[in-house]
Amino acid sequence: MRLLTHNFLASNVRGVSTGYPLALEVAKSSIKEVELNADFLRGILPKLDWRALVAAASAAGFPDLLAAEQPQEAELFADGAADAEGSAIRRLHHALLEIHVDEGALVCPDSGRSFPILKGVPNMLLHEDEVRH
Amino acid sequence: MIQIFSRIAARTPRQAISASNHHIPTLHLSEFSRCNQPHQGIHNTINPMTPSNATSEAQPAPLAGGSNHNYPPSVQATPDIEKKYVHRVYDAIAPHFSATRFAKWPKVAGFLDSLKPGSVVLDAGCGNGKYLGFNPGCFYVGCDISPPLVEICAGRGHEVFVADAVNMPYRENVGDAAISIAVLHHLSTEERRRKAIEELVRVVKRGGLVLITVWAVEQEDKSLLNKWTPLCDKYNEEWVDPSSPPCEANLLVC
Repeated sequence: MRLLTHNFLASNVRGVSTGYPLALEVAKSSIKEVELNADFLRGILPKLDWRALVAAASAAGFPDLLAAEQPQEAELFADGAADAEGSAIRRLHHALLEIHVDEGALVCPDSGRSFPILKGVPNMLLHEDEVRH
Repeated sequence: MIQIFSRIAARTPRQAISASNHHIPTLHLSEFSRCNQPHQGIHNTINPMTPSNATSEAQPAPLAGGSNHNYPPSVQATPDIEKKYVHRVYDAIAPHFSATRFAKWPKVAGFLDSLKPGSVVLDAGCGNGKYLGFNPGCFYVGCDISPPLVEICAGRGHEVFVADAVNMPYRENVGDAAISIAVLHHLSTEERRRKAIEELVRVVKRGGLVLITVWAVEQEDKSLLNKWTPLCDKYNEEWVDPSSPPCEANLLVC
């Protein structure tokens, strides 16, 4: 599971109003490099919950990877930024798409329900008594 | 097959997309959205390859859509009939199912091709993930209720998780598009099908796109049925409980 996927997931346990963001517990993670696509990141940026992403990166062992506040587009997409080592856009790309959580859990912030992540796959299925009525 | 392609333009109407024609007699796609202003928003197109009598009309009955819809418990709890005849079957046949599911339906491919780079595409009931990653400029997330099928997707490097399409664990408005390809007919009641459609609407942004395909009970072109295999006695014995109603030859493996 990439951190971009984590950014979209929420708990839907019965009785939970927001269930977001899910706390990330990481037992095992890995890095898989992929090519940076600035157009893709530009499209994704408005959909991100930045605070959730920062928390997830920190949980995955990268507490200093991202700035606390979301960078301005002008900074992210400045000429040459995509090729500059350590630039904001490269760090964002790394956080969203290259960090994989292989083993761990997603924990509902409201109910404490823990959803396991095994072999990179979260299991978000609810038990019968957890389903919203 | 019938396809329903909707743009969730303003997500305001209490407008019905009535597909209660002879193609899918048990599926009434109405009360599609969450808000209360009638006659706005959802533009729907029934696939012209299956001429239909579908019409749009306002629904007089009040509704509270989305996550506030007050369904009886049976709507979201998975009925035993689905566990037995859908989940266990797919879990059992996952490798074979996956090995035979690679052809991409042209209408679905065309839909996915039309999406802008950077789009987030949510596949509800992704099976073996044959549409995941269809266009590399988009970000696909798939879910399915069958762990063996999800494992196959993960092995191919896709972003997937195990979840029920009737109750999807996304925050609202995250998707540019959501697809439900040959999924709804696996749900055993009209209410669960309706809830699954509302979930698709909930998880896409305003202006997002939803593509749904379902199998029609009555195929206009009978030759299409020739590719499916009637359930033989062997499978009836293995999959169907003796106490179940008798199975007729119209049960098909699909």
